[in-house]
Amino acid sequence: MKKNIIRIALASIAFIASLSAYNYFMRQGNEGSKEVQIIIQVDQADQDLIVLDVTKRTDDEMLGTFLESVLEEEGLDVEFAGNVTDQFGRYIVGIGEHVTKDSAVGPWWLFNSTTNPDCVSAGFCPGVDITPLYDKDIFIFDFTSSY
Amino acid sequence: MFTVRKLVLLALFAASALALQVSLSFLPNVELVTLWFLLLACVLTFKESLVVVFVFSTLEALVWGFGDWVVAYLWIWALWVFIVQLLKQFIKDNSHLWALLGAFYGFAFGFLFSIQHALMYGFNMGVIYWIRGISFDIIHAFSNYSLILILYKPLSKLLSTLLRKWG
Repeated sequence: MKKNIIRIALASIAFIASLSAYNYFMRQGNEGSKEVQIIIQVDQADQDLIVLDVTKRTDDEMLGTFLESVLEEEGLDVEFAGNVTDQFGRYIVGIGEHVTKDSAVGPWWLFNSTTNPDCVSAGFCPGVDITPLYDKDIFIFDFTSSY
Repeated sequence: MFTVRKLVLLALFAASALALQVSLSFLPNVELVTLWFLLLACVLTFKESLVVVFVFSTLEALVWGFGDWVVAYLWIWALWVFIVQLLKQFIKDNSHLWALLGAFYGFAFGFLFSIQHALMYGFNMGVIYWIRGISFDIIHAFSNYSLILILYKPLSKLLSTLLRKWG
């Protein structure tokens, strides 16, 4: 009888552990219907400096809100100019320590995507708040003086 | 052919299985049918066990309504009594091994169901059905293990005594 109690106690631990593991993996798998990759890099003379390269799942409709939440999670400050409700939404002034000091001479934060259908069809990405997200999208944000 | 006495016994066994299933139906995937079929398969022949399984599955359909799950019940429970028949000479009265086997079968229950789903509705449906039901399979495995571990020995003893008495 004592043996059985120990066995059931061990089975209970296995039961709770396996249910928790299942719930953890299911929650991870269901978090967001779209998988989007964000690459943030800074142009340098010899080689681009990759500040961030993350892939996350999201249900966000637009790139702007997704980018904000990703940068917050990663502990990077983001500075925007303008409003979400503007015709072309906000534009990025700074990410982390890389901030546009003089918008007449740059460097500026530009972004592009070779996977997002709207960016591809337009030939450019219009603005973070008016760029819809699609599954498997990859966006590259570049702090550059050339465009 | 079965004797009338045997037929009555088999009918009672199937009715008992139904009563066990319905009485615990409010608890998801906690059931005594696995244990009951295990006990029966240990004392009956494979043919007799199959009769109980088929009558039980038909009764289930009468209670809960006919659906594709009835077909699954027919072969999944039949497979369970087949496995027990196959292993009873090796496992004998080791309740811990029966409990482990019951746990494994409880965990595999959803997977076996998903095989039928995959055959009927396509591979993806089968996979989705299985993955969505894994938490219930875990509950099934745990409840089977605990119930068999605690109840197998006393019930097996009782059933053997009663069967000897009934001839």
